[in-house]
Amino acid sequence: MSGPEQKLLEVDRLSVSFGRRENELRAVDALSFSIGAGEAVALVGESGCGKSTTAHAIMGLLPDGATRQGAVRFAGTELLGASRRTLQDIRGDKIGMIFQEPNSSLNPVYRVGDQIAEALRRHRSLSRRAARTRTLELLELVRLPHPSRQIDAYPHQLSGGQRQRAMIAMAICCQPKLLIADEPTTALDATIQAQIMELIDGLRRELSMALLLISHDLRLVARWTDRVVVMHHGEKLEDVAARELFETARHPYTLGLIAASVGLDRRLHYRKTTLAEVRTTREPQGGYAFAIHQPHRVADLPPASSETLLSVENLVAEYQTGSGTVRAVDDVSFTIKAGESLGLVGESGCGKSTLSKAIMRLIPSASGRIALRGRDITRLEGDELKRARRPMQMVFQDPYGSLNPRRSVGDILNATLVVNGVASGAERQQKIKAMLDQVGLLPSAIDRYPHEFSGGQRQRIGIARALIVEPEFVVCDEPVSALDVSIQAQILNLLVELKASLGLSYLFISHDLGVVQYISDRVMVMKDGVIIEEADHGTIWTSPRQAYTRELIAAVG
Amino acid sequence: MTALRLVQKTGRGLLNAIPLVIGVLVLNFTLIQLLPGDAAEVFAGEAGAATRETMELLRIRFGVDQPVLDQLIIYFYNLARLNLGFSVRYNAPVADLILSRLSMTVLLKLAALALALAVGVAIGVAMAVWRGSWLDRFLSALVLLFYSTPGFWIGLMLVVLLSINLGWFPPEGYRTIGSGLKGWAYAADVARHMVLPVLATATFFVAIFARLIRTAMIDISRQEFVRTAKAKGLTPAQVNIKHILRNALIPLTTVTGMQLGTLLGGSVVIETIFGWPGLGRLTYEAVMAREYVVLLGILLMSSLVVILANLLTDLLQTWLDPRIKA
Repeated sequence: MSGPEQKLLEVDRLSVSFGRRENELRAVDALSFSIGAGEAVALVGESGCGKSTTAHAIMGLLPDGATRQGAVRFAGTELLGASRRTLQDIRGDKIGMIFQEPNSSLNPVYRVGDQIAEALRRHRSLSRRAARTRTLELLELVRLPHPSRQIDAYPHQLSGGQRQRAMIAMAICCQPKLLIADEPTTALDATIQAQIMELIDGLRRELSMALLLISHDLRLVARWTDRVVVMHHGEKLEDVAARELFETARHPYTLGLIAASVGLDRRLHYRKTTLAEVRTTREPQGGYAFAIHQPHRVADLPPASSETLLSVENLVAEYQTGSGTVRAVDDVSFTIKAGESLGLVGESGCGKSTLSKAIMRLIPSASGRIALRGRDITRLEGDELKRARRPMQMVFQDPYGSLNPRRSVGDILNATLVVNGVASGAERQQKIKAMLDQVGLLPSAIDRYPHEFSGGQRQRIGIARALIVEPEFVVCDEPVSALDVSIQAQILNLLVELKASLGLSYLFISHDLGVVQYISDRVMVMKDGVIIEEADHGTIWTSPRQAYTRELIAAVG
Repeated sequence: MTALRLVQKTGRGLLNAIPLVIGVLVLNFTLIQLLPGDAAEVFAGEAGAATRETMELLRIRFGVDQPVLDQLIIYFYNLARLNLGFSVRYNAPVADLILSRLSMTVLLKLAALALALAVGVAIGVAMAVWRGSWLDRFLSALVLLFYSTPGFWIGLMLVVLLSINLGWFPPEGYRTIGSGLKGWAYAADVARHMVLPVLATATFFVAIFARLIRTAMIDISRQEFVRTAKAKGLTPAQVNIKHILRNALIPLTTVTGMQLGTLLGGSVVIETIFGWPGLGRLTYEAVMAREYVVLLGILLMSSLVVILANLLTDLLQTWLDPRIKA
């Protein structure tokens, strides 16, 4: 793709490191790539690979302690050594940037329109009135609904997708030559994701901007960019044409990421296959070696029995807000058979987490009935509830937030056993050791604290905490959503393995259709508190009955 | 709509305050009854001696001849007719007495608060913007000194330095007695008398506000919208003032509101050192003289002031932070 004409952006042997001497952490290591005018290039890699740091280095937004080497040339200007003044003039004018979290990327105390106008007036001499007129045009351009009203809205009054549209309007207000989008759709629902990417792509062509898209999502970058730069540990592994990413990628790491991902189109199912895992090992010379590992399929996966484990009938859960009662779960009925894995998909705010909390009796139900093995547990209290709830456990999304940071892993597991009435200390120690082994952690983990573990290991601790009391039924609430693709594959394999060896039944909640497709025997789709569709895993993806389900599938397909 | 809700919110706040004020009054009336002696005994004690008949007359005059419960009922009955009672000791209606003292306290303390806010915010911004620099370290040390040194000691040192040695400002009182000044000249005279007590009161609050602004600004500077502001190409000054400081004003309002209540209660020590006729000294004197009519009047007034200050803080915060619903 390298032409004789001058590139718009040239990153030449860029290195960024934080800290000094022995504590030095090299985030970006001799990275080189370039973007031509109007070209769309992606930086793709897992968390900590240095892709965001690269974007910040280009924009001159690195924190004070960072040291930089190499060169970043933008339209002939060297950015790394440039004066503050030069950088400030380029930012927002020649290079626009949008960020991952539209919720926190806008200042909460100013109106959306004023924040866009502020960027405009910084780079163009416009009167207040002219800036407002232009802002309104921009909001129309990014297709924000009701622009003449929303221009005076505060960020918290907009939805996530609308906020991201406002962010985009701000980033393109001066018609930049380059737009840097740092995980622009990661925090958004699938249907909104597709709309935002379509918008960015359309604007790129209309305004002939170049795009630097930063993402962890291989499918997303293959669909929306021209060229993909794959990064790992600050280094570029390969630079391939996006169209052929899935065919021509050569590097074992890229191949591993492709193999480990659970896209809807791959039609993977846990009863047929395990997920490939990428194994990264550090070589003595300092480099990395990559290998793809396909675990053996668990042979004895018993089919779901005909016995009903959990039945939920006409369940209603409500919560109070300033403006009245919201019915988050509205007349929901379903059953889970022993040994079955039931998937629940839906977008944020559809009530899927509220439903799981209501089933676990963590929040009260307004009406309806929850029965575990035929016993009504909807109104149990105190000791009775504690005993009845013991066969039900929960694995949460956030492996960082759901473990007490001041207690060692051994303490966390021990407390769970004590609460659940395992009296003998020796028995508890034995169970803890066995459990850690089962979730793939070393026995030495007992004395360590949650912050000493990586995200994937922490999720293993979360799973150990849920399973140590030997439940029959586990609610997994987005258990792999916060994890990288390669870790996600490991955790999903682990959940399947444990399901077989411990005879578990799952209610598996996720917004990620690929993940739900892989791990579910049956799938329910939830929207606005109602289960709108329920079908066998074989039929729901190929012949969905509801328009909304089709929309969800189309958004990721 | 919003205006209506604002009025409703204010009304609700005031309505909730009524039982609170009654509670404060009953509690303090009971406490003062538990103290040994009454107003008549103190009065007689100061005079040196009194006959049984004089004591009877004094008791009737102070209204402490009635049973305790009747005294309280009579007090509330008068209060309902907006009559705070009459101070025998000061020979003036309690309402007039308090209002004259309250205005002096408000004048002094609001001036001190305004000064502390201006200086404290300026120091806090400087410390946050140049954090880690020698300036930050110097200001931090200064702020720590302000924080840990009692106001009365600073007051005494100011008197020694600026008044006795340099003779720039009068050491006590609130006006030059017998000067007969009028209009602006009078105001300037009061202002000159205010300088030292205002400085002595303000130092502690300078420290509180500076520390608060420094911490809040450093916290906020790590927020993502600050990165957005930088990515827009805004200058550091624009980022620091318009985006970071503006958001730091929200916690500042909370703390200022909390301090406003304490400030307006008056301070016995500062008022005593500088001979300032404020509420603090009046309170002290009323307790020592066991004159519950005056004390209850002061408590009523102070609780109203605190409630008003809280209400103002709420309204100010609603205005500063659009996420709070009116």
